[in-house]
Amino acid sequence: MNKHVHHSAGGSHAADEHHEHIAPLSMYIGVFAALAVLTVITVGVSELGIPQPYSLILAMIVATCKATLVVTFFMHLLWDDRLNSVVIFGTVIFVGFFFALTMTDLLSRDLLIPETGNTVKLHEQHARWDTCMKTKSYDECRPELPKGWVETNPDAADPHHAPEHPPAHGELGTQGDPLPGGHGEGAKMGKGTGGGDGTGKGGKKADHGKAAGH
Amino acid sequence: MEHAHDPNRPAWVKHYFHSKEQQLSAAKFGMWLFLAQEVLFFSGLFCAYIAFRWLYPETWLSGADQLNKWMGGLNTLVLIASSFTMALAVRGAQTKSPVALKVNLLLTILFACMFMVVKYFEYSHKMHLGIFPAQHYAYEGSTGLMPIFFAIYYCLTGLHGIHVVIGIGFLSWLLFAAQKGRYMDGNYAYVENVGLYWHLVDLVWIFLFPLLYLVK
Amino acid sequence: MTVETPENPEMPETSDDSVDTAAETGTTPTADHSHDDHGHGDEPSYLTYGMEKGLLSFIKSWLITVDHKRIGIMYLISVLFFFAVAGFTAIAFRIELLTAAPDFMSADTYNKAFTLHGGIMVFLVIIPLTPAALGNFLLPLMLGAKDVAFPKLNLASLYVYWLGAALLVYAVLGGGFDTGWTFYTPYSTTAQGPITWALLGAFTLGFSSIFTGLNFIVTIHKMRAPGMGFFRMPLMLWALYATALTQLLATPVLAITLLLVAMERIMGIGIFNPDLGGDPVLMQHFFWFYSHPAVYIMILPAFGIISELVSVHSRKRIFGYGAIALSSVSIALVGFLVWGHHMFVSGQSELSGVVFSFLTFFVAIPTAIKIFSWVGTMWGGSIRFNTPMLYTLSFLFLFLIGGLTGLFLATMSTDVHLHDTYFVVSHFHYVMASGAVISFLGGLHHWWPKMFGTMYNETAGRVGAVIIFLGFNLTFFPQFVAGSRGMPRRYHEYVKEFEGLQAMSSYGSFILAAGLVWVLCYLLYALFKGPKATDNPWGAVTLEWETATPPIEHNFHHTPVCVRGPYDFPEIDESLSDGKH
Repeated sequence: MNKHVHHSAGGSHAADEHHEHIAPLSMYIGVFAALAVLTVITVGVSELGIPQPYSLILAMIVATCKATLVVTFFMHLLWDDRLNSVVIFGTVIFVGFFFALTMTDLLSRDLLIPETGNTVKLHEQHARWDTCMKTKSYDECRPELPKGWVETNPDAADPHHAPEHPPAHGELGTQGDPLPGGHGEGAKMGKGTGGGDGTGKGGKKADHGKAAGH
Repeated sequence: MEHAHDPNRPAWVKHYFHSKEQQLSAAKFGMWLFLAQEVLFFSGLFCAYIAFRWLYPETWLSGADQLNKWMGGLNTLVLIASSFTMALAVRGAQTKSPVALKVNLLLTILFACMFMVVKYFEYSHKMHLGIFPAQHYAYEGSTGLMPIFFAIYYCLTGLHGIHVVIGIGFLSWLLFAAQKGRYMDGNYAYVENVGLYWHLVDLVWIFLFPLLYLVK
Repeated sequence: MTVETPENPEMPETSDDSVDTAAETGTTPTADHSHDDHGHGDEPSYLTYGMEKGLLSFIKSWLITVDHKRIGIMYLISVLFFFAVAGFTAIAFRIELLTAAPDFMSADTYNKAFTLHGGIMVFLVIIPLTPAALGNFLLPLMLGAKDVAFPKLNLASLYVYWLGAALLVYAVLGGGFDTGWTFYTPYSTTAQGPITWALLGAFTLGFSSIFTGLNFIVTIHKMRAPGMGFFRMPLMLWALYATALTQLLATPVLAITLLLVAMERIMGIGIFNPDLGGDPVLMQHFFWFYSHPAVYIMILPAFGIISELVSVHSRKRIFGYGAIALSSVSIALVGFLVWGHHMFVSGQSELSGVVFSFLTFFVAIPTAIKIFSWVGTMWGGSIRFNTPMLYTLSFLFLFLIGGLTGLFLATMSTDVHLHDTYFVVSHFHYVMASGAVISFLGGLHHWWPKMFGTMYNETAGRVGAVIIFLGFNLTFFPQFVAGSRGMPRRYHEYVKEFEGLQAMSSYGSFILAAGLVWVLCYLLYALFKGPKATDNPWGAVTLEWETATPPIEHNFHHTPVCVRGPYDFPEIDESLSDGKH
């Protein structure tokens, strides 16, 4: 049944517009059906084996369609004060800025000095090496190590995987120029304080102050 | 007092509002602002998701294998159904139909509980295997940086789950009040606002589901 | 430019716009004659209603009130209390820093002291200062409304503030925490101590801020008086609006960040833990995504106060109303894009450093527009060098220094040398302490008669303003020098060569403290023993001056109608044919 009820506001101010729109039942059922179908589609498509990144893009497009349906119809945004739409779309834009600028950092960590590698990113490769080392020997696993990452052969001396001291000058796979010590330390995995790149600002200890004259 | 007896000014309009339209419009606007801040609250976790998915693609593929997409899909349908019944409940209040309001609120609560039950099964299955978040991760069945994947998984679904439980609380309170005959006099702002909150919970899940379960 | 001595003008009882003589006039009444409120002598003010029912009931009526004015006063008391606590903590470690060697504080105690100072000042004092303490009181009055949109939410925001404060106090009493107010990982996730309680406290305080922001946005959009479009609002309201937008959008990200750090402590979640593949710099991204807009939460209301003060006390319409209004909102928005300038040396990529540095330069532009407009307002005006004006002048001078030194920090190449030195400390104290605190003091003095119905001693006020200005400069200017020469911050023991500068800074801080205590003393005296104030001592034309002094519980007897702009002083409109200057 169709029912549009309009209340005329008695001293209306532009800010007070509140038209009460009651949508027909068929609309709700229609939207629900569409949402259910889209859900089935999205699960079905995932069975097809589309390669990345297209599957992600497709999944996000479908999710956005579903979200738009919910927001526009179930949440009544289509018939509401425009201000409410501004709120939600503005928020999404700010979330976009947050993601974009943060990812700019994470994506470009190795832009300036490629040899150092993006230390955070390389953890996954190093994890593969770790898994390999559980069952195989050092030489078999050597190819799994990320390029430029140095690990001493554990069979030779010490049972620990990682070297206790930073790699010596020139060992990091580049010719000549020594890399700043911080990057070298980043190559160690699992031992020590686990400081990645430049986390120096993370822990201010009183010890700084104790050094006599610097 | 300037509040003369005015048909446009029912008793439930507060003294600092001129009219009921102003009050209702302010209430809804306030709720949208609250939803905006909820979106930003979740956005931190989504940002961490994006960061780590980009950094560790293999981990993500491997981790998603541990998740049951059929249960996830079922939960998605359940939550969409609950959104549907919630919208109908609001419509019930708009059309001043107490039966529609109460029945649909009850259905929404039931769907929400069903969601939590399915979630319970998912979590308990994982914990049985030793898949705990981060440091406590103890399952040998996959490669990669599983602790990070499951840290993100548990944080996102956990925070969402907490919001579902809070939603069930609000819905129950609404049902209780509806039983006492409220919301039939044109003052259904609470119903609408809880509805908006509930739809947001659904929206978050609509994005969570493909991001966590459908990583192939 | 004439300089006039301040007078307390009498309110005209007539309702027509008669051309005034040399005597100051009060406001031209609105169509509703709301200023006849002092004829309703039977209705008590917001301060005293309910008193007749007995003391206990009176106190209870304050604690469960939904009256925005009472909530504002309770915020004011709470915030000033914590200001004193954090201030005395600062004095304590400034005494420690008098000499280069350690004196009475161990390194650990020193770390806890500056963390306490920073944490309390940021979360409990400056963020709520103008919005919650002054804004809650003023916003509905300036809008012509009877209260905010959600008065119970307003009360909830106060309760949540107290809860968050209690949690922080609990953390302090439980041994204190020494992570710095910035809670950087990995130290905050691994250190011993009641850090989780502190995180929970800050998390809770965030919600107080969010509720206030939400309330203000809805009130401004939906409850303006008839005739008041957005561009007829006083600039204080534009500032509070921009602040509220920032509070609402930025604070939830802080909430999730603190929650994640807490979960890492409790459950080892590990998103920021490099051992598990996490990234500690990611925490800094999340943290500063809130904390940079947070500094705009601190300063935008201050800008609003200055717009009001500079216009009323130069007796001149504000220069560039539209520019100031829009620049407030653009500062709020652009302020979300610049957080990485706190992280130039954290390990974030150089590309992202360049991007953030570039964006940071943009955010300086709207602020510069404001300063230009304020100075333009004073030009050709009839300036009264009373207490609020003295604070305004202090602000203009000191904030300009703070802002300009920010440019050195926004530039990556210089920031590499200045990061984590006293230069940064001095920069943010110039903008925050001189910015937010001094403008707050100016606002407090300006609106004092309206809020409390009494008048403070003008000479005492001027003396206080001068002492604070001198003390402030002596405290923080040497810190610029020390910082640029390399003295690092957060060190309790330092190299001998900086001792002279640090000593100067410490003596300055004692003078600053003395000035603040002086202000507290004469204001308390004025509160209880001061002469009664008239309804509109400054002759301002914004709506809050139309109410009784102090206002009645429901603010206005009849809804005021806004018929003029907020700075259309009647005699100026009459005397200049084009009405512009």
